[in-house]
Amino acid sequence: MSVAGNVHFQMPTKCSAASVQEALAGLGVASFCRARKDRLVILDNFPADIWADGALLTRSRAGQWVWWRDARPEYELQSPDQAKFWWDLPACRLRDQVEKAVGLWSLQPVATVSTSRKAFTLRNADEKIVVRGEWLHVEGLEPRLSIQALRGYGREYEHVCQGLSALGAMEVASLDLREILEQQDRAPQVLALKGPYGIATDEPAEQAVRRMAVAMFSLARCFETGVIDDTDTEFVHQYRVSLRKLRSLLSLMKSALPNELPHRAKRELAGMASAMGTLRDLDVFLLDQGRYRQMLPQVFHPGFDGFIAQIRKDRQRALNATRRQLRSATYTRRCDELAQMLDAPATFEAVSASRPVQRVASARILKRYLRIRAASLQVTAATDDEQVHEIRIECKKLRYMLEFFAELYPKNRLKPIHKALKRLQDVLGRFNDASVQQIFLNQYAQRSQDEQQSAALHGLIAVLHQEQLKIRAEAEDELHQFAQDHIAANFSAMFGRNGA
Amino acid sequence: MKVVACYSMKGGVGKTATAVNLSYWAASQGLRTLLIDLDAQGASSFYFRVKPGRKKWGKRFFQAYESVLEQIRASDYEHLDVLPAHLSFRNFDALLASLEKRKTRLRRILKGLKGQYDLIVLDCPPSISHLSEAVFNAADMVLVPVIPTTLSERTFEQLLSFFADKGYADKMVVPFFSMVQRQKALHKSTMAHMRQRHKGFLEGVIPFARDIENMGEHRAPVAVFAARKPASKAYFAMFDELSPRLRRKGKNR
Repeated sequence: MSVAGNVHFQMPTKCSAASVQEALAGLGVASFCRARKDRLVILDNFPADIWADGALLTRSRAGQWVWWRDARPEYELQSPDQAKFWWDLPACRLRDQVEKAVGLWSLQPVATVSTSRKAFTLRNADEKIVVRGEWLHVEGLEPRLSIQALRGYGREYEHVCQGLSALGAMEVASLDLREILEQQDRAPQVLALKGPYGIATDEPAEQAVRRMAVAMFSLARCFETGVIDDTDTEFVHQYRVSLRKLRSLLSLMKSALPNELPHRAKRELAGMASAMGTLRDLDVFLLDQGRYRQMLPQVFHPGFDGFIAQIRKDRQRALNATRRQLRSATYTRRCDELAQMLDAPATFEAVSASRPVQRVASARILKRYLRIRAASLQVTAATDDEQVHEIRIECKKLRYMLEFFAELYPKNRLKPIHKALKRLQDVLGRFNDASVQQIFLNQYAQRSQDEQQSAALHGLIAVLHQEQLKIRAEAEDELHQFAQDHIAANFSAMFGRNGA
Repeated sequence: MKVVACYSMKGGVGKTATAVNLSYWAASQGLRTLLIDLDAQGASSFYFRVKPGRKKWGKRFFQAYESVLEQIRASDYEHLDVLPAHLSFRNFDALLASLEKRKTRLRRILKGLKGQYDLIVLDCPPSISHLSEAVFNAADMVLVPVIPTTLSERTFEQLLSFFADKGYADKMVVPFFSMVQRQKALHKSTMAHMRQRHKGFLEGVIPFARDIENMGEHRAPVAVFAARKPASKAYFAMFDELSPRLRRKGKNR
């Protein structure tokens, strides 16, 4: 077994394995095994969340997956399959990490590193291995020799280290793939989906909002290629979210913008996002198809499978329509016009245009919360579902505002507010999904001429209706929680006139 | 951590070969393993090419586990360390006779190694003495090679009587047939007869094989130089059969 005392040497450029053998000849028989060549593929999702998290995911040619942190392998997995999503990997700790880091995004190769390794051993007169090591050559770097101290053979280890130093080898830290990629300017580009936008608390509101709007619009456009290539469903989702957030920003901060800008921009944005609405609805259903299938008794499965085949065809049609839209000259022209409009210099015509952005944002956030609170307190078992949906939309806008302006407020004070809002949104989101899916399925059920398919769809609608009723009670409870005095006090303290 | 003693009162029955090959397979299956060569002849140490230090340290063996730690050497195989025998180990019986709490000393020393190893294999010298009693007190399992002959059967029964007299749990004793030559009628009949009389014999048997004798020439476990031969497969089968007991948590005794 090895003991503490591993050391890494960077070998001089002209130093070969043969010269190491020669230098250590007096200590025993030094030998190197035949080189094992490999090509490590570094994987990450499109926003490079793994990289942003300070970790690294690699896959070797032989299917060895390694999750690295602090230059050490943290989790390993042997899986020859070219997994595209986390769920394609066998269940293990590495898969859990990947799931946590990348979510529904697909894994894409972001860089490759070619390596050549040779095991090194030094044997004594009894032919017993007394020192082990590894010669490692990474493409574009000087070769390295790592030496491992073996229990009971400390003296031999010391002698080898001295021999290598005499050869001109330099002791270095263990190999850090992240560092190598950074040095070679090959680090994946991190895409920040939630800012920061580099705004200052006392910056004039119009100027700040325009800059944020431009950033958000550029972000949305980053996803276009992924949508056209159909890389994964997250591209469509994030494209729509970015446009929706941008619409919210323009609408909620309209008092800081010239009169016509929010109206014109919102009209354009609504047109862009709606074209992908159908595609997204179909994606959402397909992503959850396993759960829906399980909800149905086996007798309905053939009908359900037929329905999924139909959905896939419809998805392809929706994708083609989306591709046509994104590739059209009209779309490009509209995008250019919108970008120009958002990026124009501030005119300071509007009432709040020159006021500090934090004051304007705080007032809007507080107003939004108070509106949600008042509506939440009125919710009872008799309240219309429609009203609950309206509160959900308001919550979404509040969340966007909090995300947009997060950098203006202390993180630790925003955290409990975010947490409470997230809890509420999770329940409201599930409630909405159950209801939207019923409408979605009903449209198909009415058109369907296949009896088996129709039966499966009606069965599913009934199950989803039951689920919705259950979530409804949960949603009422969460709405009342969110309206509680201590949360209201938190909002007032943060966003009131004397707030942060 | 489990302690397995390869023990027999008789010499030349395959204790050392079993200790070496069992340790090898345990380590290759991921168990952090230490082989302690208690036999002053140092055959297991020789098989692993491990030499003891020059200093006579046998006297300190039963004092503190730190002394033992200092003498441990890495083998050429991952997860496997060896504590080589020293000539001074020949005095273990006299040494133990002069010490108090001689029966539990080895157990206490091995307890100190608990965090570092999952399995300790003791290669014991052929005798019944103070050292043997210290081994029986320290071990979770006493693995006894039995050559299927009349004399070996007699020796095995002597061991069982000794266990009964001293009040040791006989379920600790795990016998197996060693150096088996199936072409010999005596071996076949003795095996059948002994399996009938004594429960607990391992299913797997170790054949009499040239490859096991060749370990001395190769100075390595059989699997390293004759991986596909019956002897290598037999030792793996033995490890596989014992594996659930070696991995089970808590005392086996």
